[in-house]
Amino acid sequence: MRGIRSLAIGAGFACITAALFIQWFLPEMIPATHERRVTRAVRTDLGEIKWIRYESSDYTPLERVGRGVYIREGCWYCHSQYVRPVTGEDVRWGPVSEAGEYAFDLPHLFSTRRIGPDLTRVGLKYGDDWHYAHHWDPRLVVPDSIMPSFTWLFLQIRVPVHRAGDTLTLDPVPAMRRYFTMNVAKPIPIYPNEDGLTFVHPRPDGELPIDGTPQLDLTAYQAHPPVPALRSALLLIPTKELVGLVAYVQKLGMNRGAWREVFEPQTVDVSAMRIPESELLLARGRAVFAQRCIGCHGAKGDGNGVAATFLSPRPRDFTLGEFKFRTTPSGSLPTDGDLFRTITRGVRWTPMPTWHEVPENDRLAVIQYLKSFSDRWRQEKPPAPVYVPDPPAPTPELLARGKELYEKDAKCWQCHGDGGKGDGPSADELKDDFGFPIRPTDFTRGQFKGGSHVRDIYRTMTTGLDGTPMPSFVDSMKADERWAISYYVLSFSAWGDPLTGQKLKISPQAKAALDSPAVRAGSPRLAYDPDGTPTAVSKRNATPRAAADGEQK
Amino acid sequence: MSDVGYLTVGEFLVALLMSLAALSALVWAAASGAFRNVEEVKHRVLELEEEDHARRTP
Repeated sequence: MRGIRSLAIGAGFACITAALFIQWFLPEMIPATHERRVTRAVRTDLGEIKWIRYESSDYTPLERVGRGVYIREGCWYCHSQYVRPVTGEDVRWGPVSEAGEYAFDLPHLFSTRRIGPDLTRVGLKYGDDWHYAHHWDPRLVVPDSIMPSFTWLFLQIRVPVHRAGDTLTLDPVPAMRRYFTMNVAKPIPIYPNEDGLTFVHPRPDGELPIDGTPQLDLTAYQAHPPVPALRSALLLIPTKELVGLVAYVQKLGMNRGAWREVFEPQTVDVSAMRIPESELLLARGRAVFAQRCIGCHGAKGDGNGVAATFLSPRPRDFTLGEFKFRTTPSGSLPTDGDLFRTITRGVRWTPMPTWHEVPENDRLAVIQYLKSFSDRWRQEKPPAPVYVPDPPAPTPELLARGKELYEKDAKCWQCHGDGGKGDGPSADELKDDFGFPIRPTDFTRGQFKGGSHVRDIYRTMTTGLDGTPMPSFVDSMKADERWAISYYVLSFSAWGDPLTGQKLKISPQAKAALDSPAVRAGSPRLAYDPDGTPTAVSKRNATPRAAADGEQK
Repeated sequence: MSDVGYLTVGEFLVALLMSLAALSALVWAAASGAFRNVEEVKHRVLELEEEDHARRTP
């Protein structure tokens, strides 16, 4: 009996030891465990998006602060960080996760439950402002959200307000000196909502004090009186922890680069579409608007929703019937197809997210409803869309011509800057038609509000962006000149990281190969390998599955 | 074998080994007499308590 006992206890320990060995030590021997490279979408000099194998990058110190907050607040209980290789995942979230994406995630935060959405691909889906509004009160931007508020990640100062006529001024309390330098030469416009909630944009590094003096700006209510009768304003300043958390969330998935530019579910190529009007559709649209849009655009569609105080640029005011992204000529109404494209794709680098996950019928219905906010829709009809022909093949000569036109004839640099960073001489003074300050687009990040295909840039140059200082160039430039500039504008973001705007370290040989039409590299599976040394992963995937990618090698 | 295949087989192996470990613990416990005369323990507790009570009562 003693023999059996000894044998059993020995076997038990041996089995547990073997299991630990298999679970802990053997995985270290799998190449994928040490893989740091991922497939990454980059824009080439000629404006195309191609896939390349590239080292993933570590978090910045600020993003690490945010990661700490993510772990501390238990975000990972409800949010997973893994796009699974099963049906539909890559259509809903984006490309399936790769091992190298987690190279700097120790411990990894895969999580398993999805009480909230998966966050692997959330980077750059929303603007920073959206995240600030969402953390203050998720219901402001997602009415049916069950996420808790994270109000303790904000500094809150209650400041009395003086009213004189239609102007409101803050009565500086001593606490404000702790958070602001109170430099009178640098006013900081802040926009209160109806309840007095007033968001203050933090410094990029999240530190304090913020340079300048906060001043209440009531532009939003001048077009839509009355001015709210506030006795005090509650200033909200994100703490460094929250600034870090938002930076961390924006970093998620960004090791895969500009994948969103070729993310099929949010690509819409219709323009001349018209939706037949019906009471049923209008009622559905009203419900969808109340569920998805009301927080920012407001119940009256005037862009004064409760969350609007957080957002820059401000949400669109539908009551004027002016729309930026159109295929119709400057100053005219957009087609239903234009609105459908904007809703589906979202407006990148702004708080307007992509809505490709919302059922198509809901998107069509809400277009019908938002047309009811302005009389302009009853008085005018959208004219025929501008014809956007097939783009000419990009060549280095075309780019050189574009550069010349950008700098001399079209004078794009005045607003967008010589380097395309949106820092031209007149950039700081620009205002939109509603009286709000507006920044010219930073081309180096490749986050184009109206779309990032060369056709989108051409369309924007042709029709202009109504309500903004961006004019139409249809009369002043010929079509081939507009194509040349469009390609040049895209080339600012070539080989760049969409998150930081910095250039990637890609060898001249690799760039030349990707610029060549011979290398298609149109999907992660076909990614170009600059080292030419196939990794374990790339070796296995050497034979592409044509049916899965819709592309032959 | 691919990484995923390796990991899958690895997980099966781990599960099998943990089960064997549990089985070994069961065998060890049985061989040690943990399942022999399982009713005995409560009677012993009761008897001990009674003896203890009898000792304390003058």
